[in-house]
Amino acid sequence: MTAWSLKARILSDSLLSNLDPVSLARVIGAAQEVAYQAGETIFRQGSPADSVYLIQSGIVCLDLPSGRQVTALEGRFGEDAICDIPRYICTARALSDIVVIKCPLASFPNRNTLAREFKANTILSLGSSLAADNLAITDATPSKQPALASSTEIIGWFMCLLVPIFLYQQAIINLLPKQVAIFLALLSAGLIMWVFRLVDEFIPPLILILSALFIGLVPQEIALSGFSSSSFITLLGVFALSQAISSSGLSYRFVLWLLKKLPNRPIFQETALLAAGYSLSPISPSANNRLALVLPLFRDMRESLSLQKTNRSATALMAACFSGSMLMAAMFATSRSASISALEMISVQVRDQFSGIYWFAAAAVAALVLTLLHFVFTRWLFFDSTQNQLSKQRITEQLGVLGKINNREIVAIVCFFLFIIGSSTVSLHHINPAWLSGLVLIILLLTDSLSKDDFQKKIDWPMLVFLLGIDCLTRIMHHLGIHNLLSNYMSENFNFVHGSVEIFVVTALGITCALRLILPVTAGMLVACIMLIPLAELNGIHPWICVFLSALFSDIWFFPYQCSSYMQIRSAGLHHEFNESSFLIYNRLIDMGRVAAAFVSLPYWRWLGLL
Amino acid sequence: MSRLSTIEIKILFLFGLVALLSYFNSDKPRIFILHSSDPDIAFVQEFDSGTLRSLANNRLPISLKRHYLSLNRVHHKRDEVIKRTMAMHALRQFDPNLVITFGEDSNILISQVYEKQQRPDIVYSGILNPNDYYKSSSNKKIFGVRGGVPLDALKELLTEIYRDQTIKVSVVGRDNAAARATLKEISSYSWSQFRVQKAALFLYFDDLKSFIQSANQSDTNLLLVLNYAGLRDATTDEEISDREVVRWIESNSKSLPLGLQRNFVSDGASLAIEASRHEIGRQTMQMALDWLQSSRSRDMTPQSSINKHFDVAMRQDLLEKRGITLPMIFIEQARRSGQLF
Repeated sequence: MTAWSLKARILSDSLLSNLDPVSLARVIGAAQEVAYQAGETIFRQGSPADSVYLIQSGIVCLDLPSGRQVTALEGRFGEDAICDIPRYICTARALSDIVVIKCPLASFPNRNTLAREFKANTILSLGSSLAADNLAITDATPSKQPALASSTEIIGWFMCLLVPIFLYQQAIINLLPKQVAIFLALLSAGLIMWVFRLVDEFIPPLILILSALFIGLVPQEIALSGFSSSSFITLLGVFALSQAISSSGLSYRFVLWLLKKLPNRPIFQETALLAAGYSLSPISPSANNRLALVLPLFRDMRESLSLQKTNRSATALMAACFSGSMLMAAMFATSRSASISALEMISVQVRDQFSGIYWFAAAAVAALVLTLLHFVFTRWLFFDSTQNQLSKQRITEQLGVLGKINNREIVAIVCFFLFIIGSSTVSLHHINPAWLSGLVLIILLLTDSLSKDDFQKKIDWPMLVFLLGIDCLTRIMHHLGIHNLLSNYMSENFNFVHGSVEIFVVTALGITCALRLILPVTAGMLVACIMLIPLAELNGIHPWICVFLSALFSDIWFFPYQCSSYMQIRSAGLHHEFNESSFLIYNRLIDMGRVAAAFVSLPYWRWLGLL
Repeated sequence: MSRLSTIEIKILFLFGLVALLSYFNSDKPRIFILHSSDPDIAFVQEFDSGTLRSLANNRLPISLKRHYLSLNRVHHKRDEVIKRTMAMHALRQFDPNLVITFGEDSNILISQVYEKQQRPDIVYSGILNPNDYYKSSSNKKIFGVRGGVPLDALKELLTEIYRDQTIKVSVVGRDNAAARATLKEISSYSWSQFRVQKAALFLYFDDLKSFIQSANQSDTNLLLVLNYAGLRDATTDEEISDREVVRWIESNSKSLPLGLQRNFVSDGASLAIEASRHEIGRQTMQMALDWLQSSRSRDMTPQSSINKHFDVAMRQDLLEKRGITLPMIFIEQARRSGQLF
């Protein structure tokens, strides 16, 4: 048989032809033609499953353990090997003189790296052989046709090239230094990528940093300084702790425990969901992650309580679920990764003071106001006289299935308290919270609470790169003196602030909301900080207040696309399980509550000496 | 026209971006620094650290290349020609907008290479000859920082040492372009109570020894050593180590040997004074950067400047042996620059 016909046979196979080209080439390279005489055994049941066979000519019979005999369909048998089954389930015999192509298992890629569709098809193929029935094999062949760019994409990419050139020329005409003109041009390209959602959020900062290095705009120690800052360790530690808490099952156990302990009345059911989100806030720097952890509970509770879409209690539960994940996002330095990055923009003293529990202490009034408003609005909008009851028995059973608290959960609890207590007692031990975060990371890695695989796959590396990239861009702007230009611009155009913190709050609200119309939440908050910090400094307003307001107001949204957490609910199809319009009204009220919380906090900040 | 795919449009963007960045890169001002000496020589390193100080405050993107002629160790004409050819090749390849030269040999080389050209702009640093010496008939954008011997400071230092005595000076050094220019500068300076009795430049150590022994017989009371690196043995033609030369001078010269290079003291002598190479480097680079920033928008006339900063190096024990005590201000100056031994 020629190599060409061997290749043709493998390529004509409905299963193997769906392998990726590199794997396919390997299989063709290792495959060999083998001939068997009638009655000869090809492999026996229980022998090591080490090859897949393609029938070139003849008939093969499979003797199943039940004694049943079937003829190999589809011209293929021995799929046990690529289904990760160590030994053949049946015996294969030649019914006539046959020629087969033997494809050794060693030439196939690791099953973990195979495409999901291919893995499903291997199981279907094995099932088909054993059942002697042609079970449907899904078409796993990916479309060879590359996706066509939408009009928005085409416009966006062309703007990415043309706007920077235009902006550069305008900057030079306006006698801005050349280096500033170049950076502004590059920055505009990054902003357009964000606005048009042309690439993932973390890619534009990388493009900007590398472009700046490419043309020698800044020395590499400045351009890459964000990656050597303490934020890197802080974020890494917090991401790792968040991952350990969720993957160990600790967070789910805690929420079930809360539901079991709290009285079985709607207000307490809602409170349990709210508390679950709140309790995750200090250690989970992503609202989406927090929401992902509590959304299954919403679904469980809704089903357990048999709530209909029109039922106000269902909407109240979703409001508690959503607000639990969102309301505390601005209240801790570690509950939003952008807050950790924003701290890098302010002086070392302020950063050290606010990177621990003091952030929460300063935000406590706002947190209290928002929590109270949540209860007021939910009682007002979603009050239901029906007293729906959760099945406590079911919760107890769920906890029973989880069993006793395991070692991974214990390590996660220890790390959680180590981080929280350590961050709040910096004045006693004088250890930077960033290094405590690093210690937490080491404990998790040493105790295998965070495996190598988790470290590779479950740490949000793109978000980490994005945040540190933004930090780098801020430092580049400082190096080039752009913050001075920005400061001058802000002082000239926002001189109406006149040192009034009330006007500053309104200005921060306007700038942040305007930016959030075009930028995603993290980028929006950080760009707002970049603009507002010079204005705060000019008006003698504490820079932390500026960072806090940016964090607080960046959660305000008018359109669903602005809020990834809400999009998460929609994409999970949960928006059919509550009254969406009532929920949106609630959300508008909470947004107004954020503004109120900022104003109510002012006397408290004065008392703390921040104003 | 068929619709572009996402990947095609991304590739188009990438090409555009790389083209624009490459254009910016090629449009960046290019500065070429040409040194006469080795990069491991102290005053060259001082000059380089001065240029880096100015560059640290610079925000204008520039390309910078340094080239070292290393003529201080060359003794054969053939090697000298090779070194010059290599420098010219590097210059042609880099095609600089502005050339900074440091050292008389590189100054002369550049003035010859670009004599008939309007470009590049040239900044001579540490120039020893009068400005006209470097002028080109076609290139008007030539300027520099004068920085030979800090003669005013030297005069003040000697006045402190010798008070009302008449100072009879012998001047000696290794023969090269810089030494010749320095000697010329010293000879033409108004010294009042100083008299330059004898002056000579040599290639061989034995000649220098004879000169100093002959000076010992006369009534000179100061030996001014312009430079000494690269002196050779007359019989073997081998280079004598700097340290050996300096130690011989220090132990055999009856009159106070005073070096005009700072490493004269680190090599074993008692006292040296030199123009601050760090400051010359800083001034030169600042001048070049200012010029690049301003020349794009206005037609400015290049301005030259004179470096008045200097460094002192001394060994107090050797000076005390000769019965010399310097004012505290000089001792402090040496200590601050790490040159008090």
